[in-house]
Amino acid sequence: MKCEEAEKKMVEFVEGELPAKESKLIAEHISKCKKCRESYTLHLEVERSLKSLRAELPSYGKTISDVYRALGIKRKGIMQRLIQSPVFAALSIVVIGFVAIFFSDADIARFSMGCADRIVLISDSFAKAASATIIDLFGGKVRTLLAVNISLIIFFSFIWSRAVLNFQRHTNGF
Amino acid sequence: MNHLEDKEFIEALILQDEDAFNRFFKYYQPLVYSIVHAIVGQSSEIEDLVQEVFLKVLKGIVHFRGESRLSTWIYSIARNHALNHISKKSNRNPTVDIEDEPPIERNDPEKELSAAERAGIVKRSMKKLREEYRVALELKFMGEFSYEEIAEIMNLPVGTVKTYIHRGKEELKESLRKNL
Repeated sequence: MKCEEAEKKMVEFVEGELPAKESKLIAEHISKCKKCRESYTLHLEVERSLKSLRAELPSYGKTISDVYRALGIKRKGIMQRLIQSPVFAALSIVVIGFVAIFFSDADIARFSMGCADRIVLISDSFAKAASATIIDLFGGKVRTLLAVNISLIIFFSFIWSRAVLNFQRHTNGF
Repeated sequence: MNHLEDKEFIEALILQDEDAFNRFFKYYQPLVYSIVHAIVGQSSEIEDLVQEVFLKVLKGIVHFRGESRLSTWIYSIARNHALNHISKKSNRNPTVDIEDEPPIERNDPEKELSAAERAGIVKRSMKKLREEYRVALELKFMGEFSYEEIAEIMNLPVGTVKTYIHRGKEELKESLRKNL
C-alpha cells in the first residue's frame, strides 16, 4: 500500500469502518512507515478530543426544568406520579387483597368469589386463564383470594391507566 | 425516528403529555444543544439559547405540517436561532476575528503537550471549520447520532454527511499538526 492510499483511508481506519482486509493492509503499512504512523497518531488524538465533546452536554433533565419554568408548568411530584401510576393501583389492590385474607371469614370469601366471577367475565382471556390456573393449583380460601387479586389487578390497572390518561389530557396546560 | 413516530410524538406534545415531553427532550436536547454549540461555540449563553429554541418548537408544534421530518424542522429552528444570536451580538459588539487569535502559549516548547492541551487545540480549531462540518461533527460526537440520523436532521444524503465529517477531521488533524 502507498502512503497516499493509506492517508485517504485513515479516517475510516481510525473509526473502525474499514473491512478487515483493508484494515490489515493499513495496519501493516503504518507499522513500517513513520510518516503514516505520525498521521495515524494525530487522527487518534482528533478522535479522542471529539469524543470528549459528549462530556460537555448537560443533562436533558435540566433543560426540561428550564423550559417548564419558562412555560409556567408545574411538574408532577414523586407522590403525584406514584399515585397516578397503574403500578400503584395494582399494589393497592394486592395490599387490600391480603388484608382481606387476614380478616376474611366464609361470607367475605363467598362475596369475593362472586366479585371475581363477574370481573373475570369482563376482563380479558388472559385473566380468565390466569385465574383458572391458580384455582387449579391452590385450594380453599387462598385460591379464592388469589383469583380475586389477579382479576382485580388486571381490571383496575386498566381502568386506572385510562382514567389517569384522560385526566392528564384535560388538566395539563402551558 | 420514522414518520409514524414523528406523528405520534407531535400528537402527544399537542396533548401536553408529560411522558411524551420527557421522551421528546431526551432525544432532541442533544440535537439542539449540538447545533447551537456548533454555531455559537463555547458560551455561557448556550443553555439560554437552547431553552429559547425549545420554547419556539413547543409553541410552533401546532403549525408543523409534516412536510419535512420533525428533526429537520427542529434543526432549522435551532440553526436560525443561533445564527440570529450571532448576528445580533456582532452588531452590538464586534468580536475578535478567529484568524487573529493568538497561538497557544507554551511555557516549554520542548515539552510535549498534555492530552487536555491537545484536546483544547482540536476544540479551538473547530471554530475555523466550515459551519456544515462543525454541525455534522458536533451531532456525531456531542449528540452521538448515527450518520443516517445526521443525514435526516440536516436533510442531506448520507454520503455528504460522511464527507463533511471526514473533511472536518482532516482539517482538525492538520491544525493539530501545526500546533505541536
